[in-house]
Order: sequence, then structure tokens, then C-alpha cells
Amino acid sequence: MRSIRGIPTVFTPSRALEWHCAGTDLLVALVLALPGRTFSTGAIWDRFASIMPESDWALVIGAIAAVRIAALAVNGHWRRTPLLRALTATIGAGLHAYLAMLFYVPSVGAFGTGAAFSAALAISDIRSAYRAGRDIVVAGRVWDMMRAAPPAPLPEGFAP
Amino acid sequence: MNLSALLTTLEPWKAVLAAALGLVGAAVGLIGGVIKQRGVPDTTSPDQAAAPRPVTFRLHPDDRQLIGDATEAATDLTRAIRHLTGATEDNTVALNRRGGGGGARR
Repeated sequence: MRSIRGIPTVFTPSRALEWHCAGTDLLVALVLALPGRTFSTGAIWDRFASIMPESDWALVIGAIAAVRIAALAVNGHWRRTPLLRALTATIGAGLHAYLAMLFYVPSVGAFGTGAAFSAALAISDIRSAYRAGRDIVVAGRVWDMMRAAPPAPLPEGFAP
Repeated sequence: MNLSALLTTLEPWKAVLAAALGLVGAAVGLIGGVIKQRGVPDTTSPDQAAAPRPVTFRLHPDDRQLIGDATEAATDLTRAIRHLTGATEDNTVALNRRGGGGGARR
């Protein structure tokens, strides 16, 4: 736990894993949103294209990544942030498991390497959901303590 | 229905099943994390923090022997000084009685 502007906030080293997953999703969304047809680069994208257009994939994945990054950036200043982190990690686990199976190419009868990356991200998200679940309890205790004994106002001109 | 037929039937739903599995896994992880943390004692409140242990010094037996000898020597020295102080006072009194405290040389 570390203190920002006198307010104790929740910090766990495992947040790095959440940032990693959120950042990966954001970059994937960015690549799909860039000009050019990513889904035309190989048969591996056929199943993706059959579900929805490239721009829609970019929107869905990008929206989930944006919510996750917002929840991580707020960093415990709002009590429900760990819950938001846990929920987005859960959605991320489902999304990545879904993507992992979409990397199967029926015409060839094999998985693309993207399946391995997505599966690793899904496992990371399950772990992140567990850590965020623990943070929910810690954040609740910290905010109860803050409500019972609010910190003294900081001196004028104090810059942490 | 054998296994390969079952897998063929499930082919279009494999991704959805995997997603459901991922969601369930993460939900179980989330609930597990909450339950696990609830079992951990609350240390966020300052009054529940563990009190620091008192600092104690343990001397080596040789050092303890040395300190004991020094204490004993200091006691003997104190007794000797008291004795000498008493003798000096007696001598001073005797000299004063004999003739004006040594002022006869003038």
C-alpha cells in the first residue's frame, strides 16, 4: 500500500499484469483500426471476418482496453475501482479465450500461433481477476478506516 | 454419438464454450480472491499494528565477568577513600588541638 496526497491507495505488484493485458488489447485494436485490411493477410483471419468486420473488432477490443486502462489509471481513488478492474479482467479472460479458439483454421486443420498468445492472456486475466478480488476487500477496509478517521488537511503549498 | 461426432457438432460453438470457460474461471478467481483476503487479518488500522518488540542486550559471559570485577574494585576503592577521608579529618582535628593549626612558624 502506498500513499498519494495523503490518501492510502491500493497497490499490488500484479497490476503490471493487468497493464500488460490492457496494453496488448489496445495495441491489437489500434492495428485493426489502422488503414489497410488486416483480415486479408491470411486464412487465419477468416473466422474473425465471418463474425464481424475488422472495424467492429477494433471497436469492441478497444473499448474493453479503454475501460481497463481507465480503471487502472484511477488507481484506487474511487472505492469501486478494484471491482471494475475485476470485472474487466473477467471480461478480458472470456475475450481472450474466445480469440484463442478463433485462431483455429478449419481449412488447414491447425491452430495459429495467436491461439497461444491469446490463451496466455486469458490465463493472465484469470490471475488478475483473483488479485483484483483480493484488492476489493483491502480497498473496502482502507475506505472504512478513512471514513472513521479522515486525514488532516495538507499544509498549504505542500507538493508530494 | 461418439467423441469425434460430438466434437464436430460442437465445432461452431468451441469458441463460445472457451469464452464461457474463461469467464467462469475468472469469476471463480475473483470470488476466491475475495474469500482469501477476508481470511487475512486487517492491518490497515494503525491500532491493530503489531507492537515493536523491546530491545534487549545480551552480554558475553567474559564481558559480564569483567563488569563484575570492575564493580567489585569500584566498591573497594570507595571504601578505601572513605577510610582515608576519615583519617585525614582525624589528623586535621589533632593538629588544630596542638597549637593553632600550624600557624606557629610565623
